[in-house]
Amino acid sequence: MSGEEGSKSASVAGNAMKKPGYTNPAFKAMGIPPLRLPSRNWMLFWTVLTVSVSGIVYDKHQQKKITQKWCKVVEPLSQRKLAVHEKPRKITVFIAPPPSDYLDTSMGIWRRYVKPVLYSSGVDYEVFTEEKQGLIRVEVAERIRELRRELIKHEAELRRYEEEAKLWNRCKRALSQGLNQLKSKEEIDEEKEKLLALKFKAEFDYKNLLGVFLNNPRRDLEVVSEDALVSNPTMAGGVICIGRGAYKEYMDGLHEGILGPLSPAKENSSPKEEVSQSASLVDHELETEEVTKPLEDSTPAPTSIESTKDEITAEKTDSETTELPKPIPKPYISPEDYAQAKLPKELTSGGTIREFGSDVPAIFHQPVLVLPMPNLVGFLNIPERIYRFYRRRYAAEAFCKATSSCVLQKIRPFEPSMDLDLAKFEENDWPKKWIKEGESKGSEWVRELKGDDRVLSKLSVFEPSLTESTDFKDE
Amino acid sequence: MSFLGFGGQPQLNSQQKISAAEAELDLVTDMFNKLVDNCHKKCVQASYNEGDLNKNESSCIDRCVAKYFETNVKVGENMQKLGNAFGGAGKF
Repeated sequence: MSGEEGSKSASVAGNAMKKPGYTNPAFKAMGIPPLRLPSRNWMLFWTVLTVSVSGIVYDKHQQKKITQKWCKVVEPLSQRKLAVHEKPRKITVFIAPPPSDYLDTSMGIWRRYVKPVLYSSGVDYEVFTEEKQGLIRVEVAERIRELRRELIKHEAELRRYEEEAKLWNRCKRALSQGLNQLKSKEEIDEEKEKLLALKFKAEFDYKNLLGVFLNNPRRDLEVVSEDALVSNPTMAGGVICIGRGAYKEYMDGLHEGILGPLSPAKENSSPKEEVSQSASLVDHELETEEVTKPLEDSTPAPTSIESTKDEITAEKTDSETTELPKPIPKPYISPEDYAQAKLPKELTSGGTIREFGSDVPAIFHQPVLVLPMPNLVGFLNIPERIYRFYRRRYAAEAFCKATSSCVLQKIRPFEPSMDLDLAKFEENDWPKKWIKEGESKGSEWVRELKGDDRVLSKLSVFEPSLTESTDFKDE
Repeated sequence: MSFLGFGGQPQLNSQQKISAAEAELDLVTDMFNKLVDNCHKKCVQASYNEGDLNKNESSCIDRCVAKYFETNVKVGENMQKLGNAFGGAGKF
């Protein structure tokens, strides 16, 4: 009895505690129940949900606004005229995946914050990505080596031409008097005919017969890159490295290309050193299988040199068709040997080194921009990751600003004391375990970045702090 | 011997050669016209403020043409593969 009564009184009390809420006859007539606040737990739930979702939405919205703002800032550049025979300025972008993560992460940053700014400023860009450590270094070094080879070839050709011209002149003078009298008139005519035929063949061009170029008054204009027209080489092109690792590899590649030999050194070092060298080819996941492969390859000395050479060329041509990952060629020179290496003769000529054909200043003359890529991984870091996720707009601002400093060419010379550490704070994010593994395998990412003053003095950097969102004025 | 699948190409007379060349020229011209059409529509603003192209337009056209050609080549390769597969199936 008493129990029943107790429960009844409790339910009555519960009903009494329920607030009446707001209602009026019209609501009642429509069947809308009295409006009242939900219970405490529901309130908690809804508040947390709204706050977290609206935080994301707000952040995304701000990011979009920031990107648009910087796109607007650089837009006047794209409105400038460009003659039909000119090619716009071209920026080279190197993208590396963050440690223990996939390339998609860095591609996301490129796609969201960097590419829109580059696109709306009307510059051309070339993207080079890597899935494995070392590809960027190999690419940069190979580009410079190719340039050096061409410089040497060009010089040799020039010398040969000069000598030939001398010899030829002497011969001609001696022979011309005697020969002309000997030859009959018909022979000379025949020779003339032959020469004319050769000339016709050499000059034959479909442009003169049909096609859109036929009656085009500007068809003889040669295509020229905008980069080739500027006198100051630091105002040409530009390089963007996304991530500290890409920057390290880029710098290593520059040193390797400039100071290193043109062909890989003979392997007469002890096997112990070989291990450490080949271990630098480890990929980002640091798989053990990969390490053993280059080791097997590198045991017979002469053949391996050839094979690495082949791989360099192969890497360029069929990066997608290869199914088995090829070992990445070792650096031709190690950072310890920078000081002993001589600056090659072909690069010391003074003035700017320009690429053949396109006449664009070489890549080491072009300024570099380093975009730090903060990327935390790991379970224990989740609170920090969430915090960063809600503050992505600040990162977006930094990325966009830096990119526009590249577009607007805010340049200062390279200062070895501080610029080798560009984006170094990013290394705090790198997983400790990954660093330890990298150190044991001699990865170039975890090694301290070393530079040589002779190379560094050629470089210059883009300085984001010199950019203001309002300072750009089109003339 | 062509019915066995290893005969050479049948000899063409000059008339056939000319018509083949004409067909090819038609094909190329058609592709070119389409390309110009598409890239013009995509990249060049219809308000025609200026006579010259600006940077945005020219780099857009550059990319557009590159993509068009690449796609064209890829589609052509695939079609050829398909054609070969069909041709192979039809032969003895």
